[in-house]
Amino acid sequence: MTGTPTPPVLEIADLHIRFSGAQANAVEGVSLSIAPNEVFGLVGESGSGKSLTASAALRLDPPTAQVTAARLEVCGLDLRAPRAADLRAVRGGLASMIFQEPMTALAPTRTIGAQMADAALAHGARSWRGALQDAGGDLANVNIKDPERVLRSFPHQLSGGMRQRVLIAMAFAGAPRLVIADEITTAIDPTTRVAVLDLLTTRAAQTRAAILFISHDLGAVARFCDRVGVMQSGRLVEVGAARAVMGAPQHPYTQRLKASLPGAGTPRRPLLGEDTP
Amino acid sequence: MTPVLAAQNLCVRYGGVSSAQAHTAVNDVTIAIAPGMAFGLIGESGSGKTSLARTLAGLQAPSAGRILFEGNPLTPDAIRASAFRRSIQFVYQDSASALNPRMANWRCATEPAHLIDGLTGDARRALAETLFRRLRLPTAALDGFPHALSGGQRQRLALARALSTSPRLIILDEPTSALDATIQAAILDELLALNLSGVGLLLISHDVAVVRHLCTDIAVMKDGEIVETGTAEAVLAQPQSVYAQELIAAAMLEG
Repeated sequence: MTGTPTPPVLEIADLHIRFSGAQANAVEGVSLSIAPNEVFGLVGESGSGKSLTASAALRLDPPTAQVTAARLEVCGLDLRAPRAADLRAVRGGLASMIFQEPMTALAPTRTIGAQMADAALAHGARSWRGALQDAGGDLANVNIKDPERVLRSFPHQLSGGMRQRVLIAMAFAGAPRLVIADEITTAIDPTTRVAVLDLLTTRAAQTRAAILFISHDLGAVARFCDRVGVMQSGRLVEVGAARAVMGAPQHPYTQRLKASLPGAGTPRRPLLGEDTP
Repeated sequence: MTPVLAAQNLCVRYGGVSSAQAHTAVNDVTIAIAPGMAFGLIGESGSGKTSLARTLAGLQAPSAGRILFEGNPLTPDAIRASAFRRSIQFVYQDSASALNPRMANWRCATEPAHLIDGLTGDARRALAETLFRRLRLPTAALDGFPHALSGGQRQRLALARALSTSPRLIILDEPTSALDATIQAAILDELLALNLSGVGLLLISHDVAVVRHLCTDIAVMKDGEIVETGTAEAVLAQPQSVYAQELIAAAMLEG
Protein backbone atom coordinates (compact mmCIF):
# COMPACT_ATOMS: atom_id res chain seq x y z
CA MET A 1 0.00 0.00 0.00
CA THR A 2 2.97 2.30 0.36
CA GLY A 3 3.53 4.78 -2.44
CA THR A 4 -0.18 5.40 -3.07
CA PRO A 5 -0.97 9.10 -3.53
CA THR A 6 -4.08 8.98 -1.31
CA PRO A 7 -3.47 10.26 2.24
CA PRO A 8 -3.49 7.74 5.07
CA VAL A 9 -6.78 7.12 6.88
CA LEU A 10 -4.92 7.13 10.18
CA GLU A 11 -1.70 8.96 10.88
CA ILE A 12 -0.19 8.80 14.33
CA ALA A 13 3.24 10.24 15.10
CA ASP A 14 5.03 10.16 18.43
CA LEU A 15 1.91 9.44 20.47
CA HIS A 16 2.31 9.55 24.24
CA ILE A 17 -0.45 8.70 26.68
CA ARG A 18 0.04 9.02 30.39
CA PHE A 19 -2.12 8.88 33.45
CA SER A 20 -1.41 11.36 36.20
CA GLY A 21 0.32 9.70 39.11
CA ALA A 22 1.49 6.75 37.01
CA GLN A 23 5.19 5.88 37.00
CA ALA A 24 5.51 5.30 33.27
CA ASN A 25 3.70 6.37 30.14
CA ALA A 26 0.97 3.93 29.09
CA VAL A 27 1.83 4.67 25.45
CA GLU A 28 5.36 5.78 24.66
CA GLY A 29 6.21 7.39 21.33
CA VAL A 30 4.02 5.28 19.04
CA SER A 31 4.01 6.18 15.35
CA LEU A 32 1.94 4.38 12.77
CA SER A 33 0.18 5.08 9.53
CA ILE A 34 -2.66 3.13 7.94
CA ALA A 35 -3.35 3.44 4.21
CA PRO A 36 -6.82 3.24 2.63
CA ASN A 37 -8.03 -0.35 2.36
CA GLU A 38 -5.14 -1.64 4.43
CA VAL A 39 -5.65 -4.23 7.18
CA PHE A 40 -3.27 -3.36 9.99
CA GLY A 41 -2.91 -5.70 12.96
CA LEU A 42 -1.83 -4.47 16.36
CA VAL A 43 -0.72 -7.25 18.70
CA GLY A 44 0.64 -7.35 22.22
CA GLU A 45 -0.40 -8.50 25.66
CA SER A 46 -2.84 -6.99 28.13
CA GLY A 47 -1.59 -3.61 29.25
CA SER A 48 0.79 -3.18 26.32
CA GLY A 49 -1.14 -0.08 25.20
CA LYS A 50 -2.72 -1.38 22.01
CA SER A 51 -6.34 -0.63 22.95
CA LEU A 52 -5.35 2.74 24.35
CA THR A 53 -3.58 3.66 21.12
CA ALA A 54 -6.66 2.68 19.12
CA SER A 55 -9.04 4.54 21.40
CA ALA A 56 -6.94 7.69 20.97
CA ALA A 57 -7.60 7.47 17.22
CA LEU A 58 -11.29 8.15 17.91
CA ARG A 59 -10.47 10.26 20.94
CA LEU A 60 -12.26 7.73 23.11
CA ASP A 61 -9.32 7.77 25.47
CA PRO A 62 -10.33 7.93 29.15
CA PRO A 63 -10.81 11.45 30.56
CA THR A 64 -7.93 10.95 33.00
CA ALA A 65 -5.47 10.21 30.19
CA GLN A 66 -3.11 12.91 28.97
CA VAL A 67 -2.65 12.51 25.22
CA THR A 68 0.15 14.24 23.33
CA ALA A 69 1.27 13.57 19.76
CA ALA A 70 3.17 15.17 16.92
CA ARG A 71 0.36 14.01 14.64
CA LEU A 72 -3.00 12.40 15.36
CA GLU A 73 -5.14 12.50 12.23
CA VAL A 74 -8.06 10.55 10.80
CA CYS A 75 -8.47 11.22 7.06
CA GLY A 76 -6.52 14.44 7.49
CA LEU A 77 -8.60 15.78 10.40
CA ASP A 78 -6.36 16.83 13.29
CA LEU A 79 -7.69 15.29 16.50
CA ARG A 80 -5.07 16.57 18.93
CA ALA A 81 -7.35 19.36 20.20
CA PRO A 82 -10.45 18.33 18.28
CA ARG A 83 -13.41 20.55 17.43
CA ALA A 84 -16.75 18.96 18.33
CA ALA A 85 -17.74 18.94 14.65
CA ASP A 86 -14.60 17.02 13.69
CA LEU A 87 -15.22 14.47 16.42
CA ARG A 88 -18.77 13.96 15.14
CA ALA A 89 -17.46 13.54 11.61
CA VAL A 90 -14.93 10.95 12.76
CA ARG A 91 -16.89 8.88 15.26
CA GLY A 92 -19.36 6.65 13.43
CA GLY A 93 -18.68 8.54 10.20
CA LEU A 94 -15.11 8.42 8.89
CA ALA A 95 -14.17 5.85 11.51
CA SER A 96 -16.04 3.31 13.59
CA MET A 97 -15.22 0.83 16.29
CA ILE A 98 -16.23 -2.76 17.01
CA PHE A 99 -15.78 -3.79 20.61
CA GLN A 100 -14.76 -7.10 22.14
CA GLU A 101 -17.90 -7.93 24.08
CA PRO A 102 -20.98 -7.62 21.85
CA MET A 103 -23.34 -8.06 24.79
CA THR A 104 -22.14 -4.89 26.49
CA ALA A 105 -21.67 -2.94 23.27
CA LEU A 106 -25.38 -3.27 22.46
CA ALA A 107 -28.11 -1.68 24.57
CA PRO A 108 -29.96 -4.54 26.26
CA THR A 109 -33.42 -2.93 26.35
CA ARG A 110 -33.75 -1.83 22.72
CA THR A 111 -34.19 -3.82 19.55
CA ILE A 112 -31.34 -4.14 17.07
CA GLY A 113 -33.39 -2.18 14.51
CA ALA A 114 -33.97 0.74 16.89
CA GLN A 115 -30.29 0.94 17.77
CA MET A 116 -29.22 0.85 14.13
CA ALA A 117 -31.79 3.44 13.07
CA ASP A 118 -30.74 5.76 15.90
CA ALA A 119 -27.15 5.69 14.71
CA ALA A 120 -28.22 6.34 11.12
CA LEU A 121 -30.37 9.34 12.15
CA ALA A 122 -27.44 10.78 14.10
CA HIS A 123 -25.41 10.58 10.90
CA GLY A 124 -27.89 12.28 8.59
CA ALA A 125 -30.56 9.72 7.69
CA ARG A 126 -33.81 11.51 6.79
CA SER A 127 -36.46 9.23 8.26
CA TRP A 128 -36.82 6.42 10.78
CA ARG A 129 -38.54 4.22 8.23
CA GLY A 130 -35.76 4.75 5.70
CA ALA A 131 -33.12 4.19 8.35
CA LEU A 132 -34.73 0.90 9.36
CA GLN A 133 -34.88 -0.19 5.75
CA ASP A 134 -31.18 0.62 5.32
CA ALA A 135 -30.42 -1.26 8.53
CA GLY A 136 -32.09 -4.34 7.04
CA GLY A 137 -29.81 -4.02 4.03
CA ASP A 138 -26.76 -3.61 6.27
CA LEU A 139 -27.68 -6.81 8.10
CA ALA A 140 -28.13 -8.65 4.81
CA ASN A 141 -24.63 -7.48 3.85
CA VAL A 142 -23.16 -9.34 6.80
CA ASN A 143 -24.81 -12.59 5.68
CA ILE A 144 -27.71 -12.45 8.10
CA LYS A 145 -30.36 -14.50 6.37
CA ASP A 146 -33.46 -13.10 8.06
CA PRO A 147 -32.71 -9.41 8.67
CA GLU A 148 -36.37 -8.63 9.44
CA ARG A 149 -36.37 -10.94 12.45
CA VAL A 150 -33.00 -9.68 13.70
CA LEU A 151 -34.16 -6.04 13.43
CA ARG A 152 -37.05 -6.90 15.78
CA SER A 153 -34.80 -8.88 18.16
CA PHE A 154 -33.25 -7.77 21.41
CA PRO A 155 -29.52 -8.48 21.86
CA HIS A 156 -30.12 -11.32 24.37
CA GLN A 157 -32.17 -13.18 21.77
CA LEU A 158 -29.16 -13.52 19.47
CA SER A 159 -26.14 -15.81 19.70
CA GLY A 160 -22.68 -14.38 20.35
CA GLY A 161 -21.62 -14.81 16.74
CA MET A 162 -24.85 -13.17 15.53
CA ARG A 163 -24.37 -10.20 17.87
CA GLN A 164 -20.85 -9.76 16.56
CA ARG A 165 -22.26 -9.76 12.99
CA VAL A 166 -24.72 -7.05 14.03
CA LEU A 167 -21.86 -4.95 15.40
CA ILE A 168 -19.94 -5.41 12.15
CA ALA A 169 -23.03 -4.31 10.21
CA MET A 170 -23.34 -1.23 12.44
CA ALA A 171 -19.65 -0.44 12.07
CA PHE A 172 -19.94 -0.40 8.28
CA ALA A 173 -23.33 1.37 8.17
CA GLY A 174 -21.82 4.86 7.96
CA ALA A 175 -19.48 3.90 5.08
CA PRO A 176 -16.37 4.47 7.24
CA ARG A 177 -12.84 4.79 5.88
CA LEU A 178 -11.42 3.16 8.99
CA VAL A 179 -12.88 0.40 11.16
CA ILE A 180 -11.20 -0.35 14.47
CA ALA A 181 -11.82 -3.92 15.64
CA ASP A 182 -10.76 -4.43 19.25
CA GLU A 183 -10.38 -8.13 20.17
CA ILE A 184 -13.63 -8.95 18.41
CA THR A 185 -13.21 -12.72 18.40
CA THR A 186 -12.04 -13.23 21.97
CA ALA A 187 -15.54 -13.88 23.29
CA ILE A 188 -16.74 -16.21 20.54
CA ASP A 189 -16.22 -19.86 19.70
CA PRO A 190 -13.42 -20.97 17.35
CA THR A 191 -15.59 -22.18 14.47
CA THR A 192 -17.54 -18.90 14.51
CA ARG A 193 -14.31 -16.91 14.80
CA VAL A 194 -13.08 -17.66 11.28
CA ALA A 195 -16.47 -16.76 9.79
CA VAL A 196 -16.53 -13.44 11.66
CA LEU A 197 -12.99 -12.55 10.57
CA ASP A 198 -13.75 -13.52 6.99
CA LEU A 199 -16.80 -11.31 7.09
CA LEU A 200 -14.92 -8.35 8.56
CA THR A 201 -12.19 -8.42 5.95
CA THR A 202 -14.64 -9.07 3.10
CA ARG A 203 -16.80 -6.09 4.09
CA ALA A 204 -13.67 -3.94 4.32
CA ALA A 205 -12.53 -5.02 0.86
CA GLN A 206 -16.03 -4.40 -0.60
CA THR A 207 -16.24 -0.90 0.86
CA ARG A 208 -12.52 -0.10 0.52
CA ALA A 209 -12.32 0.62 4.23
CA ALA A 210 -9.12 0.17 6.22
CA ILE A 211 -9.05 -1.94 9.38
CA LEU A 212 -7.09 -1.49 12.57
CA PHE A 213 -7.28 -5.01 13.97
CA ILE A 214 -6.33 -5.29 17.61
CA SER A 215 -5.74 -8.82 18.77
CA HIS A 216 -3.61 -11.17 20.76
CA ASP A 217 -4.53 -13.90 18.29
CA LEU A 218 -1.32 -14.11 16.25
CA GLY A 219 -2.73 -16.76 13.92
CA ALA A 220 -5.61 -14.52 12.90
CA VAL A 221 -3.28 -11.56 12.43
CA ALA A 222 -0.94 -13.55 10.20
CA ARG A 223 -3.84 -14.72 8.07
CA PHE A 224 -5.94 -11.58 7.78
CA CYS A 225 -3.59 -8.60 8.05
CA ASP A 226 -1.41 -6.84 5.47
CA ARG A 227 0.89 -5.29 8.04
CA VAL A 228 1.33 -5.82 11.74
CA GLY A 229 2.69 -3.79 14.63
CA VAL A 230 3.83 -5.43 17.87
CA MET A 231 3.43 -3.51 21.11
CA GLN A 232 5.18 -4.14 24.41
CA SER A 233 5.00 -1.93 27.49
CA GLY A 234 3.57 1.03 25.57
CA ARG A 235 6.09 0.91 22.75
CA LEU A 236 5.78 -0.29 19.18
CA VAL A 237 8.71 -2.68 19.06
CA GLU A 238 8.28 -4.11 15.57
CA VAL A 239 6.32 -3.16 12.43
CA GLY A 240 6.28 -4.83 9.05
CA ALA A 241 4.46 -7.00 6.54
CA ALA A 242 2.35 -9.47 8.54
CA ARG A 243 3.82 -12.50 6.83
CA ALA A 244 7.40 -11.31 7.42
CA VAL A 245 6.89 -10.33 11.06
CA MET A 246 5.04 -13.53 11.92
CA GLY A 247 7.28 -15.71 9.76
CA ALA A 248 10.63 -14.37 10.92
CA PRO A 249 10.20 -11.98 13.85
CA GLN A 250 13.19 -9.72 14.51
CA HIS A 251 12.47 -8.30 17.95
CA PRO A 252 13.10 -10.65 20.91
CA TYR A 253 9.64 -9.93 22.29
CA THR A 254 7.94 -10.87 19.01
CA GLN A 255 10.04 -14.03 18.90
CA ARG A 256 8.90 -14.90 22.42
CA LEU A 257 5.29 -14.19 21.49
CA LYS A 258 5.56 -16.48 18.49
CA ALA A 259 7.25 -19.24 20.51
CA SER A 260 4.35 -19.06 22.96
CA LEU A 261 1.85 -20.29 20.38
CA PRO A 262 1.00 -23.86 21.36
CA GLY A 263 -0.26 -24.76 17.87
CA ALA A 264 3.00 -24.26 16.04
CA GLY A 265 5.61 -26.32 17.86
CA THR A 266 6.15 -30.01 18.52
CA PRO A 267 3.48 -31.41 20.85
CA ARG A 268 4.63 -32.15 24.40
CA ARG A 269 7.86 -30.15 24.21
CA PRO A 270 8.29 -27.06 26.42
CA LEU A 271 7.28 -23.88 24.57
CA LEU A 272 9.58 -21.53 26.43
CA GLY A 273 13.00 -22.23 27.88
CA GLU A 274 13.60 -23.40 31.42
CA ASP A 275 14.45 -19.82 32.38
CA THR A 276 10.82 -18.72 32.27
CA PRO A 277 9.81 -16.73 35.32
CA MET B 1 -4.34 -50.62 34.19
CA THR B 2 -7.45 -49.57 36.10
CA PRO B 3 -8.52 -46.07 35.03
CA VAL B 4 -8.21 -43.39 37.69
CA LEU B 5 -11.60 -42.07 36.69
CA ALA B 6 -14.16 -43.44 34.28
CA ALA B 7 -17.66 -42.41 33.26
CA GLN B 8 -20.18 -45.00 32.10
CA ASN B 9 -23.25 -43.83 30.20
CA LEU B 10 -23.13 -40.63 32.20
CA CYS B 11 -26.00 -38.11 31.88
CA VAL B 12 -26.33 -34.69 33.45
CA ARG B 13 -29.66 -32.90 33.18
CA TYR B 14 -30.66 -29.52 34.54
CA GLY B 15 -33.97 -27.99 35.54
CA GLY B 16 -37.56 -28.81 34.80
CA VAL B 17 -39.82 -31.14 36.76
CA SER B 18 -40.84 -32.96 33.61
CA SER B 19 -38.40 -34.45 31.18
CA ALA B 20 -39.71 -32.09 28.47
CA GLN B 21 -38.45 -29.04 30.34
CA ALA B 22 -35.11 -30.48 31.35
CA HIS B 23 -31.93 -29.57 29.52
CA THR B 24 -29.51 -32.42 28.90
CA ALA B 25 -25.98 -31.06 29.29
CA VAL B 26 -24.20 -34.42 29.18
CA ASN B 27 -25.77 -37.27 27.26
CA ASP B 28 -24.66 -40.89 27.58
CA VAL B 29 -20.93 -40.21 27.91
CA THR B 30 -18.50 -43.06 28.43
CA ILE B 31 -14.81 -42.26 28.88
CA ALA B 32 -11.89 -43.69 30.85
CA ILE B 33 -8.88 -41.76 32.07
CA ALA B 34 -5.88 -44.03 32.63
CA PRO B 35 -3.13 -43.16 35.12
CA GLY B 36 -0.67 -40.60 33.77
CA MET B 37 -2.79 -39.62 30.78
CA ALA B 38 -3.11 -36.02 29.69
CA PHE B 39 -6.71 -36.21 28.56
CA GLY B 40 -8.07 -33.25 26.59
CA LEU B 41 -11.77 -32.50 26.43
CA ILE B 42 -12.49 -30.05 23.63
CA GLY B 43 -15.67 -28.45 22.37
CA GLU B 44 -17.37 -25.08 22.14
CA SER B 45 -19.21 -23.15 24.84
CA GLY B 46 -22.31 -25.04 25.93
CA SER B 47 -21.12 -28.42 24.66
CA GLY B 48 -21.18 -29.87 28.19
CA LYS B 49 -17.43 -30.00 28.95
CA THR B 50 -17.66 -28.27 32.30
CA SER B 51 -20.73 -30.24 33.42
CA LEU B 52 -18.93 -33.47 32.60
CA ALA B 53 -15.77 -32.39 34.43
CA ARG B 54 -17.63 -31.20 37.52
CA THR B 55 -19.56 -34.44 37.68
CA LEU B 56 -16.37 -36.50 37.31
CA ALA B 57 -14.86 -34.47 40.15
CA GLY B 58 -17.80 -35.30 42.38
CA LEU B 59 -18.85 -31.64 42.54
CA GLN B 60 -22.31 -32.47 41.27
CA ALA B 61 -24.35 -35.65 41.01
CA PRO B 62 -25.01 -37.41 37.71
CA SER B 63 -28.64 -37.71 36.56
CA ALA B 64 -27.96 -41.18 35.16
CA GLY B 65 -25.05 -43.51 34.56
CA ARG B 66 -22.13 -43.90 36.92
CA ILE B 67 -18.60 -42.84 37.68
CA LEU B 68 -15.86 -45.28 38.64
CA PHE B 69 -12.95 -44.11 40.79
CA GLU B 70 -10.06 -46.58 40.61
CA GLY B 71 -12.55 -49.19 39.47
CA ASN B 72 -15.13 -48.68 42.23
CA PRO B 73 -18.46 -46.83 41.90
CA LEU B 74 -18.20 -43.24 43.12
CA THR B 75 -20.91 -43.22 45.76
CA PRO B 76 -21.64 -40.15 47.92
CA ASP B 77 -19.63 -41.81 50.69
CA ALA B 78 -16.72 -42.40 48.33
CA ILE B 79 -16.77 -38.71 47.32
CA ARG B 80 -16.46 -37.70 50.99
CA ALA B 81 -13.66 -40.20 51.63
CA SER B 82 -10.19 -38.70 51.81
CA ALA B 83 -8.80 -41.16 49.23
CA PHE B 84 -10.94 -39.58 46.49
CA ARG B 85 -10.47 -36.00 47.65
CA ARG B 86 -6.72 -36.50 47.82
CA SER B 87 -6.48 -38.17 44.42
CA ILE B 88 -8.65 -35.87 42.33
CA GLN B 89 -8.05 -32.13 42.39
CA PHE B 90 -9.72 -29.32 40.43
CA VAL B 91 -8.27 -26.08 39.03
CA TYR B 92 -10.61 -23.37 37.79
CA GLN B 93 -10.29 -20.91 34.93
CA ASP B 94 -10.40 -17.74 36.95
CA SER B 95 -8.07 -18.19 39.89
CA ALA B 96 -8.68 -14.59 40.96
CA SER B 97 -12.16 -15.58 42.08
CA ALA B 98 -11.37 -19.21 42.96
CA LEU B 99 -8.74 -18.37 45.61
CA ASN B 100 -9.77 -17.09 49.01
CA PRO B 101 -8.69 -13.42 49.02
CA ARG B 102 -8.28 -13.35 52.81
CA MET B 103 -6.05 -16.41 53.10
CA ALA B 104 -2.26 -15.98 52.95
CA ASN B 105 -0.72 -17.62 49.90
CA TRP B 106 1.15 -20.31 51.83
CA ARG B 107 -2.03 -21.38 53.67
CA CYS B 108 -3.97 -21.29 50.45
CA ALA B 109 -1.42 -23.53 48.72
CA THR B 110 -1.63 -26.12 51.47
CA GLU B 111 -5.30 -25.91 52.46
CA PRO B 112 -6.31 -29.21 50.80
CA ALA B 113 -3.42 -31.01 52.54
CA HIS B 114 -4.50 -29.40 55.82
CA LEU B 115 -8.17 -30.33 55.42
CA ILE B 116 -7.70 -33.80 53.97
CA ASP B 117 -4.47 -35.02 55.56
CA GLY B 118 -4.50 -32.90 58.72
CA LEU B 119 -1.17 -31.30 57.90
CA THR B 120 -0.34 -28.46 60.35
CA GLY B 121 2.47 -26.35 61.77
CA ASP B 122 6.01 -26.61 60.45
CA ALA B 123 5.18 -29.53 58.17
CA ARG B 124 2.48 -27.45 56.48
CA ARG B 125 4.83 -24.50 56.08
CA ALA B 126 7.56 -26.77 54.70
CA LEU B 127 5.13 -28.21 52.14
CA ALA B 128 4.19 -24.67 51.08
CA GLU B 129 7.84 -23.84 50.52
CA THR B 130 8.38 -27.00 48.50
CA LEU B 131 5.32 -26.30 46.34
CA PHE B 132 6.39 -22.68 45.76
CA ARG B 133 9.79 -23.84 44.57
CA ARG B 134 8.29 -26.56 42.39
CA LEU B 135 5.97 -24.09 40.66
CA ARG B 136 8.57 -21.36 40.58
CA LEU B 137 6.60 -18.95 42.71
CA PRO B 138 8.72 -16.39 44.58
CA THR B 139 9.12 -17.55 48.18
CA ALA B 140 8.84 -13.87 49.14
CA ALA B 141 5.14 -14.23 48.25
CA LEU B 142 4.52 -17.02 50.81
CA ASP B 143 3.07 -14.62 53.36
CA GLY B 144 1.38 -12.35 50.81
CA PHE B 145 -2.17 -12.57 49.49
CA PRO B 146 -3.50 -13.63 46.07
CA HIS B 147 -4.51 -10.11 44.98
CA ALA B 148 -0.87 -9.03 44.91
CA LEU B 149 0.07 -11.84 42.50
CA SER B 150 -0.04 -11.56 38.72
CA GLY B 151 -2.57 -13.63 36.78
CA GLY B 152 0.06 -16.21 35.87
CA GLN B 153 1.31 -16.44 39.46
CA ARG B 154 -2.24 -16.88 40.74
CA GLN B 155 -2.73 -19.78 38.34
CA ARG B 156 0.57 -21.25 39.62
CA LEU B 157 -0.77 -20.90 43.15
CA ALA B 158 -3.95 -22.73 42.12
CA LEU B 159 -1.76 -25.50 40.70
CA ALA B 160 0.33 -25.61 43.89
CA ARG B 161 -2.88 -25.99 45.87
CA ALA B 162 -4.03 -28.85 43.66
CA LEU B 163 -0.64 -30.55 43.99
CA SER B 164 -0.55 -30.25 47.77
CA THR B 165 -2.27 -33.63 48.24
CA SER B 166 -0.08 -35.40 45.61
CA PRO B 167 -3.11 -36.16 43.43
CA ARG B 168 -3.27 -38.81 40.74
CA LEU B 169 -5.35 -36.57 38.48
CA ILE B 170 -5.85 -32.83 38.23
CA ILE B 171 -8.95 -31.62 36.42
CA LEU B 172 -8.34 -28.22 34.83
CA ASP B 173 -11.24 -26.17 33.47
CA GLU B 174 -9.88 -23.72 30.87
CA PRO B 175 -6.81 -23.05 33.03
CA THR B 176 -5.11 -20.68 30.61
CA SER B 177 -8.00 -19.00 28.77
CA ALA B 178 -7.73 -15.82 30.81
CA LEU B 179 -3.97 -15.50 30.38
CA ASP B 180 -1.80 -13.70 27.83
CA ALA B 181 0.07 -15.77 25.25
CA THR B 182 3.48 -15.85 26.93
CA ILE B 183 1.98 -16.47 30.39
CA GLN B 184 -0.17 -19.23 28.94
CA ALA B 185 2.96 -20.80 27.42
CA ALA B 186 4.70 -20.78 30.80
CA ILE B 187 1.71 -22.46 32.50
CA LEU B 188 1.47 -25.03 29.69
CA ASP B 189 5.16 -25.81 30.21
CA GLU B 190 4.41 -26.27 33.91
CA LEU B 191 1.49 -28.63 33.18
CA LEU B 192 3.61 -30.61 30.74
CA ALA B 193 6.34 -31.02 33.37
CA LEU B 194 3.74 -32.21 35.90
CA ASN B 195 2.33 -34.73 33.45
CA LEU B 196 5.78 -36.00 32.50
CA SER B 197 6.43 -36.51 36.21
CA GLY B 198 3.39 -38.79 36.35
CA VAL B 199 0.48 -36.55 37.39
CA GLY B 200 -2.59 -37.24 35.26
CA LEU B 201 -4.40 -34.29 33.68
CA LEU B 202 -7.94 -33.81 32.46
CA LEU B 203 -7.75 -30.58 30.50
CA ILE B 204 -10.96 -28.86 29.43
CA SER B 205 -10.46 -26.33 26.70
CA HIS B 206 -12.06 -24.79 23.65
CA ASP B 207 -8.56 -24.17 22.31
CA VAL B 208 -7.56 -27.03 20.01
CA ALA B 209 -3.98 -25.74 19.83
CA VAL B 210 -3.57 -25.98 23.60
CA VAL B 211 -5.01 -29.49 23.69
CA ARG B 212 -2.90 -30.57 20.73
CA HIS B 213 0.19 -29.30 22.49
CA LEU B 214 -0.39 -30.90 25.85
CA CYS B 215 -2.58 -33.96 25.54
CA THR B 216 -1.95 -37.64 24.88
CA ASP B 217 -5.65 -38.40 24.41
CA ILE B 218 -8.59 -36.33 23.24
CA ALA B 219 -12.37 -36.40 23.35
CA VAL B 220 -14.42 -33.96 21.28
CA MET B 221 -17.77 -32.92 22.77
CA LYS B 222 -20.75 -31.46 20.98
CA ASP B 223 -24.25 -30.92 22.36
CA GLY B 224 -23.49 -33.06 25.40
CA GLU B 225 -22.15 -36.04 23.51
CA ILE B 226 -18.66 -37.30 22.79
CA VAL B 227 -18.55 -37.23 18.99
CA GLU B 228 -14.98 -38.46 18.74
CA THR B 229 -12.30 -39.84 21.00
CA GLY B 230 -8.88 -41.44 20.67
CA THR B 231 -5.19 -40.68 20.93
CA ALA B 232 -4.36 -37.03 20.27
CA GLU B 233 -2.38 -37.98 17.21
CA ALA B 234 -5.20 -39.99 15.64
CA VAL B 235 -7.99 -37.51 16.39
CA LEU B 236 -6.04 -34.49 15.16
CA ALA B 237 -4.53 -36.12 12.09
CA GLN B 238 -7.68 -37.85 10.88
CA PRO B 239 -10.81 -36.60 12.59
CA GLN B 240 -13.73 -38.82 11.62
CA SER B 241 -16.70 -36.66 12.59
CA VAL B 242 -17.65 -33.59 10.56
CA TYR B 243 -17.75 -31.49 13.71
CA ALA B 244 -14.23 -32.43 14.81
CA GLN B 245 -13.00 -31.69 11.29
CA GLU B 246 -14.54 -28.19 11.44
CA LEU B 247 -13.19 -27.50 14.91
CA ILE B 248 -9.68 -28.60 14.01
CA ALA B 249 -9.70 -26.73 10.69
CA ALA B 250 -10.75 -23.54 12.49
CA ALA B 251 -7.94 -23.98 15.00
CA MET B 252 -5.25 -24.74 12.46
CA LEU B 253 -5.44 -21.07 11.50
CA GLU B 254 -2.54 -20.71 13.89
CA GLY B 255 -0.28 -23.13 12.05
